[in-house]
Amino acid sequence: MSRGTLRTWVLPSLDLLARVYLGGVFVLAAWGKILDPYSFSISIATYQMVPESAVNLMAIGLPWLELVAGVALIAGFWPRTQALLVNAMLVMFILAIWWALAHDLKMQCGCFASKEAEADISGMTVIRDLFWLGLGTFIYVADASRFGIDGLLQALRPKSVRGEQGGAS
Amino acid sequence: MRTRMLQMGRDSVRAVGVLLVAVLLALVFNAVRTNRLDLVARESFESLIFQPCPETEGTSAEAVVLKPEGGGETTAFPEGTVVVDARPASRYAEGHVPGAVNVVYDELEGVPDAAVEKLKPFKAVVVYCDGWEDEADETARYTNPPSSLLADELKARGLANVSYMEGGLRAHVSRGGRIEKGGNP
Repeated sequence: MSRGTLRTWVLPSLDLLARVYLGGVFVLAAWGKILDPYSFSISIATYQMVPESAVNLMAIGLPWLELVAGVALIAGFWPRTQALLVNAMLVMFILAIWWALAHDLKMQCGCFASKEAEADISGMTVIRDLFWLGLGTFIYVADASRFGIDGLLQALRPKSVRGEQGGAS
Repeated sequence: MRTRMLQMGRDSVRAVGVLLVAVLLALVFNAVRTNRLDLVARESFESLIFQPCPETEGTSAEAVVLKPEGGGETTAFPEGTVVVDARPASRYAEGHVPGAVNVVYDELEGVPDAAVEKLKPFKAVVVYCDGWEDEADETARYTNPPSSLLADELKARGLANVSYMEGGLRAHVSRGGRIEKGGNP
């Protein structure tokens, strides 16, 4: 496989798959929390890591950040930026779950709204989040979002402008 | 290198922008929805997330059930037994097993040394909490750590003959056991 094929087709295709999957996960996670912010506020409070005065603000704001970042990731709008945000959230989640596990808390992670989708937090929860973190890092580093809004805008730009901007997404 | 730094800086600025947009959307949506949340909770989450209560199976502590004929009083136990109410002080004051002492249990903080020392002179310790209203309610199991955890911890801290009351205070009341009101003696 030539370097050109890799850069033009393979990497962008893998990037698209990673974006749709990771974005979908975040949209799905956000949806239930937006519908039932009260339950999510209790989930946050259960971790006992956030001051009570900040629990509701987090329960209101975090799902929307997940939704916006997830949708934009799927659409390919500023994908590196969304990957940065998604990874920042994932690092926060991993630390929270690790902390809860270290304190032997028997609880669900509060990541998704559906109780059926959630077992108790465990080492597997951390591994799952680390996998997502890996995907986010791939999207950020590969910077190959040819398929999506950014790619479309890039293609529509006059060649001279594209050349000046070095093809950055 | 410089290009990468510039790219990271641009991404960070954009990330702050996306964050602001998301927060704005969240606040507007929360303001117009019917089941909106207060920006700052008016009530503490303590009662929702920490009720060191109900009982569960599979503990190293031996389960002890209050005898109905004993009226649920501590006299139903052998001499030298202390009954420990592991619920928050406010719940204890609302009603507890007669003679029980209140040792509030936070599974994150553990049992204070002073409380362990206070219990050491007794020959046996029986711990209880609220008891689940619905045994099938999984949510209650997640949000209410069992009192058996306290029993386990007391055992691990060197106390002998530590048990917990199966079904907790709820079972005690349902058996017709008496309730005493007031704070810790």
